[in-house]
Amino acid sequence: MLAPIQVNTLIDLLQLRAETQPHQHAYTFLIDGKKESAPLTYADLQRQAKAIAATLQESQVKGERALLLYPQGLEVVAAFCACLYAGVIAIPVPPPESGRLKRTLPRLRAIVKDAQASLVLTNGSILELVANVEAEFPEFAQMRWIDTEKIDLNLAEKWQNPQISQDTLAYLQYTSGSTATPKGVMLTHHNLIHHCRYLQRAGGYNEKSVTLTWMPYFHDYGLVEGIMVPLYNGHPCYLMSPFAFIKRPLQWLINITKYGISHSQAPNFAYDLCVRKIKDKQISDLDLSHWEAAGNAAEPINPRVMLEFADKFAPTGFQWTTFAPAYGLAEYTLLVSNKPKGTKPVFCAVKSASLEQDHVVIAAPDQEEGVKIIPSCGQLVCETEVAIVHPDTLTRCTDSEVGEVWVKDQSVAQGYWQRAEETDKTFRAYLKDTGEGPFLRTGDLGFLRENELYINGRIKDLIIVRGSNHYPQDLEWSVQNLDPALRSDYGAAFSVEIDEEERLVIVQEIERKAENLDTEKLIADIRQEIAEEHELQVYAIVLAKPGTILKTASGKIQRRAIQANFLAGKIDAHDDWCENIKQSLKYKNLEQQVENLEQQVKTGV
Amino acid sequence: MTVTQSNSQLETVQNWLINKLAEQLSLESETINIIEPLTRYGLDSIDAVTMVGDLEDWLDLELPSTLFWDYPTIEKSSQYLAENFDLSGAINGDKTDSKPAAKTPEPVAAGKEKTGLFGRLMGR
Repeated sequence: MLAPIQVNTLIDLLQLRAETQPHQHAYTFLIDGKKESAPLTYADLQRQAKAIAATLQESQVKGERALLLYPQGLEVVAAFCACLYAGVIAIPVPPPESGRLKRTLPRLRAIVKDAQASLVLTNGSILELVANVEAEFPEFAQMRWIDTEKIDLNLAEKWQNPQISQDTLAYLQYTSGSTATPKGVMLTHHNLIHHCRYLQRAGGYNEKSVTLTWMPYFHDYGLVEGIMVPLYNGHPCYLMSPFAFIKRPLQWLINITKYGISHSQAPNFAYDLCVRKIKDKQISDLDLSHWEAAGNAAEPINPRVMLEFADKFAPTGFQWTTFAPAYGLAEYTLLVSNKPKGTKPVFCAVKSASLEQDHVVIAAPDQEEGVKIIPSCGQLVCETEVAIVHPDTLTRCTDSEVGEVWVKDQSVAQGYWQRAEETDKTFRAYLKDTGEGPFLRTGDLGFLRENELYINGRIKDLIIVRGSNHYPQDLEWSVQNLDPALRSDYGAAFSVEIDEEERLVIVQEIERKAENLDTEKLIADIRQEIAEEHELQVYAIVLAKPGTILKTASGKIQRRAIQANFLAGKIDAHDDWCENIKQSLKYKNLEQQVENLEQQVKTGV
Repeated sequence: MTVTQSNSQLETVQNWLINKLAEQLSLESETINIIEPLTRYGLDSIDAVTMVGDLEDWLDLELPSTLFWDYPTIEKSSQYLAENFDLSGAINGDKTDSKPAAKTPEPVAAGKEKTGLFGRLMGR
């Protein structure tokens, strides 16, 4: 067992590591997923952090916000620590990449504005890339850009302790909110340290633990469990780039084998990718028997994928108990629940019809139809408190009801950066009847049963695909900007479940007066725009007639009602397209016509 | 290398990419135009990088993850490959891999199979 560390800030934590185990291997980056970088020790990491912090401290920076723009690697770990060492609030964000500027830059710009960021820590190649588009983004020119690769390490001597407390903000996590209104979750030093302490216990870490993560530093799963928990525990951490994993999923498992990894985590799609891409003949050299916790969170978990993965990799010694389903959100630093180490994953079979009424009725063991299997996301992490609440009446649900998951703990973040109203709504909820609170409203629906937390759907309008959150407003806006025939404010983006996977559907009204419609071209344009701007594949697109997009009296788009109409095939369309042609409205109509004809022929005879 | 040889290599790479894209996105390969951006067919970033990995396996080469962002059409990316790499070994070696494997797994009728699934999950 590891002992909890008694420190108040991350400065104290890294200082402790650098003093007590200066030469211990802290982080190694695997270049292209394969070649080891020189390992970074705790002494190295602290020296780099101090040198960068001293550079920042050349001007008044305490409390300022700094973007971190890096490829995945050791530089960003040092830069993150450097911000903390300077009392600067770090903002880990996806770096711009050549060929994908269309997606990354507008969001980056919105974050710079929202956070009023005045600093950027980055490297030479990203600096060059951004210099090429500087003219289009005047706000970038007003910021202080620092190439941390060029910093003289001797500057470390000049570092001054910024005298911060545990309540000082450490970083803003921008995974929430649409591009138009990004929301920066505010996390203090205490949030992070307290939560690392939780994860140490709940994740079953010990003296022999070794982490490997390819989840990006700007994703809370990568940053908190992948990068910060190893620092808190003082155990080695290997990093690889998400691209290296996606290009060659086998490389993830090769590295787990090679470095004796005990903890590595990824969203559901990653396990699926391993099943589909790794060939049986490539498995023989793998040894996954020492993998103790294969974290599985950040998007809905598909039990079928778990089974396929466990079956396929059984010859490598992969244990069924290694799977560690979990549930979390940035607003809670990271994990609300996870499966304890060494136990079997838990599932429950619920009657689908009861779920539609938000009731949990357990199906008979031999029931064959109308059953939904829901994987448990594990047990509440340490002292985490959860209430399952009716989202409308704000009172507690009974044990057999599905309701919104509300959470209470010191892991709850401080709110959204400079958004008082949204902070109140989301972070300061109280139960109406008992006055208990304050709770964090997660926006996710679920239920608790025998100490297991089950998540089943969400009330927030959010689309989660492959571990990335997408806001419908952003997608709708992109579509409507393509062509004047696509009616502004009359579109809906939502997800549907196809083969237990979340998939994107776009329903867009066409202007009444639109002439010479080339619907095929419009559909291809929409597909392309969504792929380029949002890096998403669309499952189905409906170009609908006016009257399709339902709104509330206050003008809010009723995405759930439109989704229901889509699923029922009740949309009056000009044209539509679906990845699975048999599911398109066109095909269904044709089928109906053929059936009618057959009927006529039959009755005619 | 003669001109015809390199042309046929280019064509082989193009055909491979067309088939792969069709497989990845469940499209008919006849509908794919090599001068259209791959995103036109809805290829997202994860599938684009996955395709680079498949291409590496087929050609036995190391390629940049960003290949299909830097060369966003089948025409451009195959040209880049033909001009910058020696593809003769992989292609003339008549690798049987060039035809994409069938997509896994077949969707099964939902209701019946699910109890089986639950049994399998709980039986572990």
